[in-house]
Amino acid sequence: MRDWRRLVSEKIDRVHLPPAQKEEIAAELGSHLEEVYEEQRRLGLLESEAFEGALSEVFDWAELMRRIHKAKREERIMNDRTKQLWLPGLASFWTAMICEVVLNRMDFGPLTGGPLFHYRLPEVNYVVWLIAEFGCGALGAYLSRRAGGPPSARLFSAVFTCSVLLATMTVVTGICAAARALGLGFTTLDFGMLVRPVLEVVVIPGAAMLAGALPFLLDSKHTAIA
Amino acid sequence: MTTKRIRAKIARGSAELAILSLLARESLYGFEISKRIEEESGGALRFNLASLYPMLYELEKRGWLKGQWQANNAGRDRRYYSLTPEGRKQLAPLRREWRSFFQALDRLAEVSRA
Repeated sequence: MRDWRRLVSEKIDRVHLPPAQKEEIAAELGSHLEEVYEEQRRLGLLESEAFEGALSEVFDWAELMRRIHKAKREERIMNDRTKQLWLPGLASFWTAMICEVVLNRMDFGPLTGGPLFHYRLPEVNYVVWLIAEFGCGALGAYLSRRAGGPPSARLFSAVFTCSVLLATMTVVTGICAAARALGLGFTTLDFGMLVRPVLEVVVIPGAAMLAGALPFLLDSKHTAIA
Repeated sequence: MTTKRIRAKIARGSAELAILSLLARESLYGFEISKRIEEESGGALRFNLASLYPMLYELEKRGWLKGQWQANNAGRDRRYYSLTPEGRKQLAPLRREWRSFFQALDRLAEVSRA
């Protein structure tokens, strides 16, 4: 008995589609060829003639794959990682940034004002900001779950803002350290003073975001809408 | 526009209409769709694998069809296609367009009296 699915799998091996999608296409086209073959056998054709007859359904496999790829490709303008991780993470990040700008304009005093190494956060603003971060974490995790993201993607989406801030602080500190080493300034750079900004801007808001994300992390069901 | 392009557009449009009309009645899988179209058109229209599946995937991408794996009468798994509410909504204007197209062609070339 011929393995039509395998035959199609070999023909479509080089098409650029996700493996699961290729498998599904191979199963569907394979079953179609199998039915054509069986029908021709029922009509009295020899096995080899029926086989040739089934294969004649496709004159040019490369052209067929190009058309199938075109038809399937646009479905996946955004891959799963984009939908489940980057977009929710960016949504959370930009919401956090907007909250920060809004809070700054509410004239409670500078939220993250002052030079990096003389960090100062007014307490009221800070608490309000943490509440906003709580909501941003929840938003990131919710959007990721809505797109069918696994718990790891929801977690990353929730704390994406803190990751960006930590990365930014690391880069800025690196630049300052390099400038100091080259004698270009920052003569009073003290790495011990970085602890507080890291705690206030990364660790504590990260914990708030994580707390906001918690209901969406514990819920293990994937509710993909894609 | 070349004759070849016009022919391709007509073939594509008629194929869409044929598939949607058929699936408006019942859910069918690929091989059944090609057989039914061939039978019901008296052999005038014929889809092979290469012409049928890209069209089905395209219509599915537009959200007009929905494919779902189910066992057929012989107990084999087949991907059954059914019309979505959006596809059903598209069918009526598509039918109207084709009707007016044939009427226009008939007035012009007197096809029905030939």
